[in-house]
Amino acid sequence: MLYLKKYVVFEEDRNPMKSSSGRLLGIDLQTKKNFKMQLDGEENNMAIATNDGKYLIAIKSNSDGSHCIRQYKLKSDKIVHEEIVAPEMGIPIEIYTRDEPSTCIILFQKDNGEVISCKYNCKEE
Amino acid sequence: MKRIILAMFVICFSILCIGCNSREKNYNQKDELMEEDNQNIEDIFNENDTKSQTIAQFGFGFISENFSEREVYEYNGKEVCIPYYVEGMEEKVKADFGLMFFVDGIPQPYRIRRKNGTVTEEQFMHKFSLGYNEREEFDVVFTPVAGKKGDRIGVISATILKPDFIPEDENRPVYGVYHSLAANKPSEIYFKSEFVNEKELRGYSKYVLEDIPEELKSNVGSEANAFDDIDTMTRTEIIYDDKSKNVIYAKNGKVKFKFRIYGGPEIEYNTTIFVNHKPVRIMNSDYLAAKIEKGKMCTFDLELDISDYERLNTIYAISNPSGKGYFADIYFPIKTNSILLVNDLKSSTQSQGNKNSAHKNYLDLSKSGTLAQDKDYSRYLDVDYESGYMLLMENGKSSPVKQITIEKNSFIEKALEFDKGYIIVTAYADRPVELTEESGFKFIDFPQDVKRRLVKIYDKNLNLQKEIDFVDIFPQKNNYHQTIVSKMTVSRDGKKIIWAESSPKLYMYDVETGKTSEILNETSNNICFSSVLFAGDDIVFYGIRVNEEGTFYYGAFEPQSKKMNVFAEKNFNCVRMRVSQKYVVFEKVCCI
Repeated sequence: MLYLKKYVVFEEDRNPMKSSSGRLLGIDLQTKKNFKMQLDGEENNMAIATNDGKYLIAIKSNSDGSHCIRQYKLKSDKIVHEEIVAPEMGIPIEIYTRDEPSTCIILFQKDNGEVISCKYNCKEE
Repeated sequence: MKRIILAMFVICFSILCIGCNSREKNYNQKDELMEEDNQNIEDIFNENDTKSQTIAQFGFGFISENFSEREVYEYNGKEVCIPYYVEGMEEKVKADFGLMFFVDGIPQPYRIRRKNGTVTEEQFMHKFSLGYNEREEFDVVFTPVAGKKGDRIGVISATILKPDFIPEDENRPVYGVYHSLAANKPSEIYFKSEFVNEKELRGYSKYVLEDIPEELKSNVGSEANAFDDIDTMTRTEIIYDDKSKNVIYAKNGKVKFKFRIYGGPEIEYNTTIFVNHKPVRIMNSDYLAAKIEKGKMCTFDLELDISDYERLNTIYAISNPSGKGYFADIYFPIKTNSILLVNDLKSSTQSQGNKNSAHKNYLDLSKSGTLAQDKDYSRYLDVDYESGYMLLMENGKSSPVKQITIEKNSFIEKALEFDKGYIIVTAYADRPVELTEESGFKFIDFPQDVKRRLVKIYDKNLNLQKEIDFVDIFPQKNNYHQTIVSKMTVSRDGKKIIWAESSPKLYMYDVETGKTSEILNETSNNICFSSVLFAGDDIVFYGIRVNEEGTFYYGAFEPQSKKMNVFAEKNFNCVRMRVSQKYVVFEKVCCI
């Protein structure tokens, strides 16, 4: 099944002068309209919209080495759900979607180089 | 994108500090530039488009009544004494910076003697934190580290912005404009008396001299400003295992890296390696000595023991002309980027976090309903230069599904995934990838001089389907092939390859017909593309407009209808686009 709605988000580089602005830019490729979101801190360094256009999944690094996966309602600042992933999982290196409406794939890499692929299934509001 | 970043840096730099001796003729020019660019700088660092933020503004320089000539300080057997000032110039924030001096290109420890008679300890860097209009005048006092009777040698001062900054998270080792260097013009020390050097400093000059690779001549991969001419501007870099991460990890407390210097006038340079803003002895020497030759690059192989340091440290190199080189019409000192240096023998906060993680409420993958290990799609490409194979791996399995031998003197420069396979760009050079190992830490040195590139198309099981000579796809006769490879992207069906050259031009290669076409150019588009991606039937992009700094343009283009939607955003420092659909290209296996 192919979902025709497509979105592109633009990630901002981290600015060490201050905490990241959290500003995120996106384009709804179906309507060709742009949108902006204000995320928390550095999450806009790794974020993707789900194929159904409902949510934005963003990952934020915590100071203790863990990572917070946040599920936002797309085009809003509303947080629907969040999970904290232990440092042992490694560092998130990639996030992308497949042909599924409300999921995304997150790749974690451990210190020994091992890559673990995880699927995030969005929680419905 | 690199242009934007560099331009921002230059603008930032101009307002951050006025490192000019008041006698220098360019003082006013710099001052004016500061006024002109003030608004831009505030925009760059604003929080939410309504609140502006300035990092620092300060002045520093030699105190002198001589406005026209190079100041000459005499060494007559006693300590050299240089009247100096520093001044904060920003109302809202304090100016935090460190002040260094170099004599004949070598770091000079010095003391500060204030008017009330107090004298500080001798240090290589004295730090200042100055409020608005807060001015300090003092004498810089030192016994020169170099020189002999009759010599006239250069002395120069330089500041390092926010020296106390160090990234707290080794996973995000970003310095930005922190640790930027600003400098005065050099002055002179004339040695009237014989100088007795208590400890003769030793230079290390064992370096490899080789032709500057074409990629570096065209600025690709260097830290240099894209507007600099390689014949007039000297460039320096610290090269290490994975430059993309801006972090060097020690193995058993030791780090191995390279330092290279090239370009600019044919003069001699002394380079010092600094760790935590202090010069370190390296290769049993105090500094690195190299002579620039036109068209050549000097590369030092270096090893450093940091076992006694804390876990997180900062390393950089500062180069200065030695001898009469300081008369050359060049900007110096030249500082490399600051890089996070991690001592593996010391524990980290993260390691502590790992130890304690069992007690925290972290997600349990086996029980979670939202995040679970992915079983459906677990194949990925890997490259192992040790065994000489490109590997098709499956998550959770140690042995590869399939492996392909990497040909002699070649390496994998790019790997793109599409719905039915992979596109691999293989680069051929005149030497193989070189692997070195020190204390279990592996270094990979990729050849810079690529002779030929092949684009190979594989199916999902890594069976070769097609092989195309790179020049058949990219017929342009220029030196930007490495840039093109880094920016090329493939459509989800694998039938189209597109690329841009940081210009308004956009090219498309049809894999089936073997034809390359220009689908956008200056007449139909005024965006210089920094990055392009396929997104279904669209091509999404971001970039800048020529002569328009500070505005980020992004949008979507329909190749069929030629319709383009463009949006603009002020001061958005874009690093990557992510497209939501199954077959979006990602580049995680590139140049491992």
